[in-house]
Amino acid sequence: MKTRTPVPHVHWRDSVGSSLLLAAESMRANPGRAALAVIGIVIGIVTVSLVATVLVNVRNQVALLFRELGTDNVFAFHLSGDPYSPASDEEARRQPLDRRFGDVIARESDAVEGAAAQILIPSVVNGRALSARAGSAVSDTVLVEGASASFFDIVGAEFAHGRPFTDLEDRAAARVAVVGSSLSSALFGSGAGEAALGREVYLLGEPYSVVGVLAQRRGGFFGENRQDSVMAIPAATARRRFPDSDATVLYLRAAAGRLQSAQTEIETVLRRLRRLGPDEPNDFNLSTSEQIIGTFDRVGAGIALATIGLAAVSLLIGGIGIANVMIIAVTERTREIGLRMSLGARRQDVLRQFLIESVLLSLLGGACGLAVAALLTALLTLVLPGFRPVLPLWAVAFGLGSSCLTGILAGYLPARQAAGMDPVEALRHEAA
Amino acid sequence: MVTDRRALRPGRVSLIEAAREGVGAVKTHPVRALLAGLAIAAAVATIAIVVVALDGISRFARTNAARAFGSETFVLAKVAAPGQISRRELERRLERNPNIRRADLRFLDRWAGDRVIYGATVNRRVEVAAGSRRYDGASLIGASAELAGIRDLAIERGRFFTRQEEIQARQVAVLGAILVEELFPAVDPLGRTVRIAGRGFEVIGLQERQGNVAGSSLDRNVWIPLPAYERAFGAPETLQIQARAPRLDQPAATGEAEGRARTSMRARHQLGPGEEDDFDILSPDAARGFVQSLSERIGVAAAPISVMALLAAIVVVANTILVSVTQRTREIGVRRAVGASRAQILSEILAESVAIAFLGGLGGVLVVYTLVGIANRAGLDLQLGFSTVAWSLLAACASGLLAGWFPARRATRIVVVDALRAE
Repeated sequence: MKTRTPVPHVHWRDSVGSSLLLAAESMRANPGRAALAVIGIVIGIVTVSLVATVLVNVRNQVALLFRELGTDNVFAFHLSGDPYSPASDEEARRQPLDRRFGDVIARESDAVEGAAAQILIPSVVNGRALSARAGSAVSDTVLVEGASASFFDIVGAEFAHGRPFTDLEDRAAARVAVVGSSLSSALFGSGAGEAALGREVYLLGEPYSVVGVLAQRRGGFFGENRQDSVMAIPAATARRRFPDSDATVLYLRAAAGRLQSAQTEIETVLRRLRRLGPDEPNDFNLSTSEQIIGTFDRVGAGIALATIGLAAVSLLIGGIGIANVMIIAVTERTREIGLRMSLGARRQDVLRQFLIESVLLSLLGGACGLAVAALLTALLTLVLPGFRPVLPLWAVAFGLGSSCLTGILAGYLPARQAAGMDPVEALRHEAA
Repeated sequence: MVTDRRALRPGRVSLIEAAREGVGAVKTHPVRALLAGLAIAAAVATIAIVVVALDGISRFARTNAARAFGSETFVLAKVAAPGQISRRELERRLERNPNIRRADLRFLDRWAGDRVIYGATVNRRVEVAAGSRRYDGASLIGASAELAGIRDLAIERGRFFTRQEEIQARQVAVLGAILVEELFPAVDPLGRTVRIAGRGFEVIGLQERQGNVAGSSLDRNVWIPLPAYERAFGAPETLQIQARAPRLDQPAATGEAEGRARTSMRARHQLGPGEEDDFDILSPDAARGFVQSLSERIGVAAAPISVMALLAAIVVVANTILVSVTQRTREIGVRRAVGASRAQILSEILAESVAIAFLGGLGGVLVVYTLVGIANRAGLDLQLGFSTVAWSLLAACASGLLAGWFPARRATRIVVVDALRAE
């Protein structure tokens, strides 16, 4: 026996439209309630997107830091990690690379266009901490390193003033120096500019004359780039003044698009230069900026995931708020549901009506949350130097997507409860 | 205003009454209250987990530091902890502070009384060989025999060397676990000989495995008497002195021992009053400082994120209470009409909100308790302290009060006549 008259087919667009209207109507009926539900989602979205923005910023800055060493360069070093604490005893026994290897490799390998060497000098030498002095100004954050004349060209360093030192100066172990922008300001004053050229910087009591000042670097770790405090002196000078520091990094520039083959060729030549037998493992480490960034990303992924997870709790709680409001709405509107159903609304119409209301609340929260997050990010830019207000597009998509999903999940159970009602019972229901 | 006062007087605010009303309201709408409680539970659990994890990290670091230095041991050196001071300060100290030598140790010993025991150490990287096997990268430590009484050296078998053996500069050695594995994979090392810098040392003791501290293994250590070390490598430039109070039954013993050590060393260096120390003392607290600051830094990042969760939860509870106030407009109006005071209504609504939040907080703490139990069974060492539980519940109640405030205020403003007219 048929109790219900067949319902004429309604196009889904019309029914979605009417559901939207109904949803807006119910929000207007209880503005305080809707506002609080939306605020819950706003808090969640703001937390998640701010955390994401900060993480992305830190990551991008670090990536830039390594890319500034040259994206076409292969770095060769005798250790795999920290130059001052070898990863294993086997590494501790390795001999540093010879700084002249770079030229040999550039000569023998087609894929390698140019080579440079950098000699790392620790901050404490023979029990004396390094500090750079000029007149009465002292910098004890100076980062001293030896560099071959080609170094600045190979890493693409930008000079604010002056020039790199020449091959002749390197071979003659001249006491000249190229200084980073922070070091220049610390020693000669922030507005020194060109006036820094030709001035003397004292290192362990010996004067070095400044021939070049580097432009400020772009990358950094929380706004700091150690390379801005650099004092680069010719490699030969470094070997003579700091005979115990021989940890050398070779920078080998690959020809355009031949990074891969360069790496293979460098490995072959280096193995020969290090006199390794066919069965012996490499006693050096090759890497590129992208590989270093990859390692950083692998280490950082866990931390990022944990932080995002922590932030997502707020969004979850916002979702609970939506679910609660929807459950209350279903209970309050039991009579209305019964009436609509007895007038021919199908279960899926009722389901859709409540789902749409729930999604609408969440999306509203998501949109407001993203706007607030964008505002806060802009404020952060004013406070933190080097912070770029990138609210990445994927974060926007993720924010809206997840709030939409939250709405569906939070609204589903109440909506199903509403759709599953017996219209007769519902009509008899007394408003709570 | 007269009516107001009359309405206020008869209804005294009873906390018990309010609490009963609050719980009653929770019972009438269990699903709604459950969801609001769930929101608080999630937020409280997040905060408690962050606290427990940070506490776990710093405790892990503390036990690690205790293994490396001894938890009551302090270190007296020319320069201690070079990483924690600025480079210029380090340079100044390296230039100014005199080296510490055996004569200084003897002087300290003479003035120690029964307050301090001192032991000196010096170390370097060496190659150790046994038969045809060799191990490069061992950390050779020349030490005084007293060291065994200063920190727990975790001797698994055999013994540490004695004062007698130290005085006679006997060539005896105690080996860390990695060296035992590498040099004597198949035989018992006790009584055998290892070669260090061309000299033979008899193995008299073995350390149990101790693991890593700050990335470097403690199991590569080889301990030999300080005079034997000096015979092989010459007198070291400067010694590191480790010290502690002999008995720890008095709470201030460690502090007193440190004070005595400082005074003796100042006397040795003939420092006048007002002159600063020309040596460093690294107390166990200072050694822990680094890890402490690390976990604080993580806390600085994690705290605002978990506070946001609590904020979201407060909004959810506030909304739930708001709905309940709206639905009970009529009831509240009737009660006001028959003499309930504003304060009564206010406390009743607040009680409902606090009841939800407190139960939610309790649920959150229970979840964390279970998780900590699971984590500990999986081998972690976490503790859910009483104070964490107390603070979590307090935070939950405070959130309840905050969440209930706005709806409760609204309830007290319900005008009796309007409320009664309401459908």
